[in-house]
Amino acid sequence: MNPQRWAQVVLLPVLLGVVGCAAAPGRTATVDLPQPLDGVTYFTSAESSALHDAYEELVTRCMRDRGFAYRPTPLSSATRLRDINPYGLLSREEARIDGYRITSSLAGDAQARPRPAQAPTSTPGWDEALLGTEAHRVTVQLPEDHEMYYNSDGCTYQATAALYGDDWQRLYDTFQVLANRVVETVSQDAEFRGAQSVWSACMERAGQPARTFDEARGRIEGAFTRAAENRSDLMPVVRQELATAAADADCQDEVGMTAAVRAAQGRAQAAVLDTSRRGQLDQLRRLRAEVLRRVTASPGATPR
Amino acid sequence: MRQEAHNPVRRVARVGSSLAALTAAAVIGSMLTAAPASADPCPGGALCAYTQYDWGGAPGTVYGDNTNLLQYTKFANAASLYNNGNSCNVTVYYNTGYRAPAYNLNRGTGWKRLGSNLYHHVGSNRWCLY
Repeated sequence: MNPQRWAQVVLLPVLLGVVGCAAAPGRTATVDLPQPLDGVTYFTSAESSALHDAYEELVTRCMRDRGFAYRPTPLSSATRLRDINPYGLLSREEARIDGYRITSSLAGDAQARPRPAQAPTSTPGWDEALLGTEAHRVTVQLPEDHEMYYNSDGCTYQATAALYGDDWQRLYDTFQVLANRVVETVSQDAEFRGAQSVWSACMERAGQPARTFDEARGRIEGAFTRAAENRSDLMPVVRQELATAAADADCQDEVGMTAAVRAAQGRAQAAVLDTSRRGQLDQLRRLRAEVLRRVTASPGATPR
Repeated sequence: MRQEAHNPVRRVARVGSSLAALTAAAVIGSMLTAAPASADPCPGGALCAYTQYDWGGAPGTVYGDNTNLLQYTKFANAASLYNNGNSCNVTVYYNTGYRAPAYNLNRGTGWKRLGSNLYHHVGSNRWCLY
């Protein structure tokens, strides 16, 4: 069976059965789970989609003003992977409907992955208009010894600044580093690890042995990858994912994992947020709230 | 990972996982190279990993989604990264299998220095998630 045929035969029931349910409006239980720094660097897949549309409109306009054609690229259908909680927390409802979001996201991606638009007239001039030039390079020092740069004259940067605000890039990159530091610190926290051990014993009793959250989820990813490689029936993987995720969520609930994460997260955040960082965090929160208000209140109303 | 820069379409199948190849996740642009100003600039459309700070040396390149980048020396030992994609932003993950921590890297931007929580450990990547 060729890959296209496999996708049609094997993936369609998955898409209808899983994505159809999971994609229903209102299924946003994951946003209620703890996120580092109160989710300041996290956007739901729906928010990401609205922001992406507004951003691409601005890039298109900027490129047109510079005399270049530009075709916006749609987001991947796997953007739902962004809704996976960074601590591995699951809501019971979500787990029973969509498991870990692995099969539904990746199967959907295989079926409907948008082909990124080819650069229609990619030339040095086109690339410079889009991405900017070295003469306008801005280097930003970030926490944890990261250092990044952007070109402030590129349409990509200018669209970002117009949509989110001039300080967004620097603040967002700063706090995505700190948010990830929080996630890593939580994963090493003694209380978190203790709770995970109790969860592991619960998973064993449930017939789904796993030492860590990653191990449980990784087993499903492995099963999906093997099925995709062999172009075999995906429904057993879907059933395995739903069963494992349901046991996972039940055990998390039994152990009180969400409370353990909240407590560990509080300690981790206190360690990374000094007074000056708190001021920056407030600023990023304001920018985030403002851009979401704008794109969700009147989609298509992008700043000029 | 071989570092040849011949046909990027072939390289997708070579360096991407079979899943990535299956999902036709190639993000292929022109073969124009662009910043960073290193000895070997990053080809157009690629996510490039360098084992030196400031994009020094020859890059390892990927054009598609990859569940396991740690099998490639340049990503397993990355000290700087550059997104020269001309269609999409890229999300890179510390772990394989798209597991957190995750970092967003806008197209046309790069990390001159990877810090302590991504240094020498770029585990997987996906394009067009945001």
